Amino acid sequence: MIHLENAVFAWPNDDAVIRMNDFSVGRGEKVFLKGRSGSGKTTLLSLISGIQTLQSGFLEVRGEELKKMPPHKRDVFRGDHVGYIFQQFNLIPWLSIEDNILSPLLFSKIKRKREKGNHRERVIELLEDLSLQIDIRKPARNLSIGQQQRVAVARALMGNPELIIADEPTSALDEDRRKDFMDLLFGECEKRSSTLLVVSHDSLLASQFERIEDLNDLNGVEHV
Amino acid sequence: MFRLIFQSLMNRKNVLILIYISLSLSVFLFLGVQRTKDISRNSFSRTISGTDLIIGARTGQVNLILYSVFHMGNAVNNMGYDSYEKLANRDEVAWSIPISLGDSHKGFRVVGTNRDYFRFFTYGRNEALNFEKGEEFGDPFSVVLGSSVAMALGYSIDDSIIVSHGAGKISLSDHDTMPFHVSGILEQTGTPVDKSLFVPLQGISAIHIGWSTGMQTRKVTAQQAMAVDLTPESITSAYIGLRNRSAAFRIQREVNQFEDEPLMAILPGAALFELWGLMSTMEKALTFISSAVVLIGMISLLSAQLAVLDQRRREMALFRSLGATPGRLFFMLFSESLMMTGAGCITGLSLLYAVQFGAAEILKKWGFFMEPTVPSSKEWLLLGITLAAGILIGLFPAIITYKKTLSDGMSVRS
Ligand SMILES: Nc1ncnc2c1ncn2[C@@H]1O[C@H](COP(=O)(O)OP(=O)(O)O)[C@@H](O)[C@H]1O
Ligand SMILES: [Mg+2]
Repeated sequence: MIHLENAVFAWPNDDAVIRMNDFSVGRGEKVFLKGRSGSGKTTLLSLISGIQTLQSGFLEVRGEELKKMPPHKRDVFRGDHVGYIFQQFNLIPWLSIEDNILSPLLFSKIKRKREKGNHRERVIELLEDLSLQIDIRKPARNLSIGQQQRVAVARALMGNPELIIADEPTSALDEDRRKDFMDLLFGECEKRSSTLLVVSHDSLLASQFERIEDLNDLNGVEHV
Repeated sequence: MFRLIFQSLMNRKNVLILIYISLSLSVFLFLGVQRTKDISRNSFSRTISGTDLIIGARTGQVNLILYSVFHMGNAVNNMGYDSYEKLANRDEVAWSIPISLGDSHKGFRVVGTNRDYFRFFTYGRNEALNFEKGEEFGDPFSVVLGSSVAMALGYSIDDSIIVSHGAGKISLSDHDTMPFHVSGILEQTGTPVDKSLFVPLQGISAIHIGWSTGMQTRKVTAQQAMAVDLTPESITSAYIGLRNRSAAFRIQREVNQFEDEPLMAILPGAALFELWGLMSTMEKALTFISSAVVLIGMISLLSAQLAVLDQRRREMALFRSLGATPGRLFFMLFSESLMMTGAGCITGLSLLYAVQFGAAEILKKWGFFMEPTVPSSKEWLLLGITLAAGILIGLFPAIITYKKTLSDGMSVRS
């Protein structure tokens, strides 16, 4: 699903943040990538999702080399095949919960095609899976952070993308909720056999994952 | 997509509604000033048409057209009736209308003239005067009313009217020994004609018998007056229609060099043109103020958009993660301002029409004539400029957010 070789990326006016010789994630694999804050986790994820592109080296997602695509194709590609969960502020506060969950369909034909049936039913179904009992017509700003993160999972799953990416999805949650959340995310991806890539500095959350990697080992960049 | 934009706007509806109102009002004001300007010009220029020359005692051309046509201000000097006759009898002259001003009735001007006024005077697109009721003068004490006069004072045919001396609202002395009787009422024209009363020159002469320098020295009755020769000694001015328009300049020159007394002839078009020049300073000031108001509306829109910039950055990072291309995000941000200004323009324009329809009748009574028309090309241009300004102002926050979104990538860093 993901394949990097001799990948180098640096932010403008900065030393290289990413320098990865070889890193791959197979189709359906669930990978937990740990790394200290500032180690380049978010940067790596924006490379994989095609927001940024490598300065040199090779990065392939779903068999396509991202650098070779024109920028707008990369955006469409991301919309079509990736579900992204942020650390926080995942939802558009002024949109209803339902519209937030359905928002990926606005930007992706493929996701739209995959969700042919009744959209509202799909939303309710997803929320049931995530054991959320909320009024989906209410604006998202009324939700607690824990609820917001779970709605974010529902949104990422909407349209069944092959690759789910989560960037420290639990860091805004209470200690005792983190484990539950990870279990939920893991379980849902397992059920759909989607590929899951989670990055976090908290390796305690990784218990279920078959594969745990440390960005420090993969990354040839020295961090102070 | 538009639903998304709309919902984003609705999210901030309290602020945006206020801005929308201020934009609408400012566009309304802006267009209103322009339209008032056009209407007043239009109604000024439709006041007289088909008249080639206006002749009067020597004064400024603006002054002459103001008092002789618009009945604003007073004549400084009169011209001799014999001079008028001399000029009116020239071969080149097709018709002429003598005008004698100076008296009034309840604030409305009384115009001394002859029957030719109803025959030859035209206004607007060469429209002639028509009688709504009655007919033109029968005897020296007949009066024909403009429609506003008849309406405002509730007169009908055969009512009797006392003419006052002088043009003021409050008359100092009345010509009460010689009442006039209404012989006809004119149809509405939307020109100063509506606000005038027309009496024969002989009537004017008759009521002034026994008057010298504005004072009545002896009382005279109508019967006594009728016995005298009522040919006037002087008139205020005269409208002239030529057989051949191209002679206008030559006749004008000749009138200006008239030997018997200092006279002047003006071309109504040229005088109006000079009048516009005088009016344009005020118009410019009004235009400036109203466009400043539009600008203020837009600046408030700008500040509202800038105030939520940081929140927007998060939203934009989110939309990007969902696969939105930067171009699309730019379009979203940009359409918000566009929709706001667009809505403001449309509402402002509608408001203008609403007010114009509502006020059309009232304005007509004041002598301002306007048919609510489709926006002129100039108004479209002004709307276009307003919209363009809105677009430019909307571009600003859109570009900032857009740039930040690009450099933010997936993480919003403050
Ligand atoms: N948008 C950006 N522009 C410039 N530098 C950035 C940007 N995002 C991250 N960086 C830099 O890249 C490095 C890695 O950041 P990041 O990928 O966010 O780390 P992590 O997610 O592991 O905390 C940091 O030194 C950070 O300053
Ligand atoms: Mg990070």
